[in-house]
Amino acid sequence: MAEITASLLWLMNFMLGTILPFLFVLTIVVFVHEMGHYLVGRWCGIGVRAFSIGFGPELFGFNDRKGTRWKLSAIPLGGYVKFAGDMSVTSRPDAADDNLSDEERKVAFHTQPVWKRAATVFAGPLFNFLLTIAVFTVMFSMFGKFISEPMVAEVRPDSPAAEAGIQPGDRFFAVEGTRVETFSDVQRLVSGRAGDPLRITLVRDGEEVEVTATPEIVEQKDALGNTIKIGVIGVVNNEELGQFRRVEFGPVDALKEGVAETGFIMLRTGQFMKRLVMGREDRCQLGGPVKIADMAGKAATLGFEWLVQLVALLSVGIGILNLLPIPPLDGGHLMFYGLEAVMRRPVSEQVMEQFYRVGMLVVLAFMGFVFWNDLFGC
Amino acid sequence: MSNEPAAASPVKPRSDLRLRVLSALVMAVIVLFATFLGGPVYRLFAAALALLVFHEWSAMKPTLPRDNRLLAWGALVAALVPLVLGMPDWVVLIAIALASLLAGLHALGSNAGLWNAFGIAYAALPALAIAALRGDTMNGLIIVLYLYAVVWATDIVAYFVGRALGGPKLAPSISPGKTWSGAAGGTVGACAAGVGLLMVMGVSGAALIFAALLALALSVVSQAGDLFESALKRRNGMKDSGSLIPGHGGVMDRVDGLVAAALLLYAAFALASMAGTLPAGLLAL
Repeated sequence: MAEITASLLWLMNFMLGTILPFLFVLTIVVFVHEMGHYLVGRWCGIGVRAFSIGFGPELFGFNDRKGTRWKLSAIPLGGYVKFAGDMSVTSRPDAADDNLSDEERKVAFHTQPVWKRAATVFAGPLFNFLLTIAVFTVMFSMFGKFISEPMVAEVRPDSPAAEAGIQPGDRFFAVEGTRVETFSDVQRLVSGRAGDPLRITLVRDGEEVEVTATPEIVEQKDALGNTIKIGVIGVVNNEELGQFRRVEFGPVDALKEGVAETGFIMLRTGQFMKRLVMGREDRCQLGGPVKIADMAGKAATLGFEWLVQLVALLSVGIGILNLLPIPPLDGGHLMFYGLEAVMRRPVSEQVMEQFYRVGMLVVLAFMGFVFWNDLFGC
Repeated sequence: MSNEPAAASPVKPRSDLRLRVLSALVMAVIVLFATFLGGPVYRLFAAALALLVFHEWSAMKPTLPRDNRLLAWGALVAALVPLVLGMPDWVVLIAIALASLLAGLHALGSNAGLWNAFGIAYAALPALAIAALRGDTMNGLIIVLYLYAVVWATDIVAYFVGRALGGPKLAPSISPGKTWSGAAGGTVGACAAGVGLLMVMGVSGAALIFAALLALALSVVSQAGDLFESALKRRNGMKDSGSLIPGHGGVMDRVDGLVAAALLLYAAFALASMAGTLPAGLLAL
């Protein structure tokens, strides 16, 4: 029966080549996020009932001495920390358990001062950002960074740069007022701004020249073979002018670079989301679980460091997504805590209930949208 | 619940076991016959299973409003029509999603809760899974037989190993009869049964090693499905989900592990077939 063997091998290829790398990447990101909630919650003296990687029915689990159930659940697309007194896993204050003993009440989530609750909730996304910083720091100290001078060696005919009057031999000095040191600084500032007129400052024969260029969209393949659309102005650097070289970093500088890189990605993601809402970005650039799984599979074939880099990128993404001010997400809780701190009393339960309902629908709709994008849309 | 030994009925364990074995054999013959035939017969069998499971599911909460239950029944039957007709998986999947959504939306209006909406998914998705895995090909037959071998071996071996060795309880608050030794034994038995079946079918090498790993995952998931169903029953104050099968309780008690394992196996094949081209005629997606 050669056919059944072929089927099994094909399934094995997929499970080990795509699903396993995907679960590896996702589990690390989810674990770190929930660990943030868990650790800061514990430091604040809040009791933790359950720590779960995955949703739904439990697959494996054990209880620790402090009464926390640590478990792996069936649907691996997320996780949760359930605090004392929570009825649901989203820490909805209006759904808190009122029949608590005094003992329980002391460690219950919803009885804590607002700053403790806010710190515990914020810790999830924060740990995600810290993970990304850590990964980049290690990467920079191990591999250094390839840089080149921000020089113009060639201007593509009929490109935005040619129209703006940029000339070979020019050196980029600033983009929209931000100083640039390397060619990749320029790329970073230009690539996410297709269609926006950008104020570009150049140095030509020792004089500052200011021009305005509007990046246009081109399709490129990234390292993982995905087609991505980015903005370019049509200038090319070369070896001679750009002096391509690798710089190495000591631990402190690597950390600085790691923080800066993480900050750039956060800014870039925020910019992308703003432009997406305004209808100025292609929705196909937004990938859901299927696209991430696909990328994980491709990254795994390129090597372990690629997979780790994907962990870093996904971690920032999940951190930012969770900070959106939509109630079941961490950002939604933080929004209510902010209001509570300002008004000096909690938001009324009825108002909260409505926000949670609407928020839940928004989150579900968003998930449906990215799934649709993954499967049929693009 | 086969690894719930004597504790369940301490008075006459021997005759209870004989009854269980007898009715298990009768069921196995029926199931295997439908499975060998495949095609429309097996699709009808899968749909019938879904109806029986949903019957027991909705009976767990008899106090829910009647109109919500009737609506859910109608929606489930409608969703099973494309399944029985052998329409593409995605059509059936959308039909099930719509049926569940309909029952859920209706419940929001009448305060019935989402019980019946979840029940539709719990009953119909595994039916889709086994029907799609089986299909019409020899390949599908072997895959489904492998699934049965893994799930049934999990139940049977866990029962006997748990009874022989005893030891610490697996989940005393949910299902007092189950032991860690039984769970481990069941998992090992599942790997042996799954691999054994495929060896008979001529599979060897890396494919066989993968089949062992897959059997391990399916066995764990099937035991989790078993515990999940036990927890549902316990929460609703029942011991058996019904009394249709002599010595076994209800249909849900019998298929709780299969439900979960079939979903996992189907999801694996379905995702893989979306990701790349698949060997001729294994799954129609």
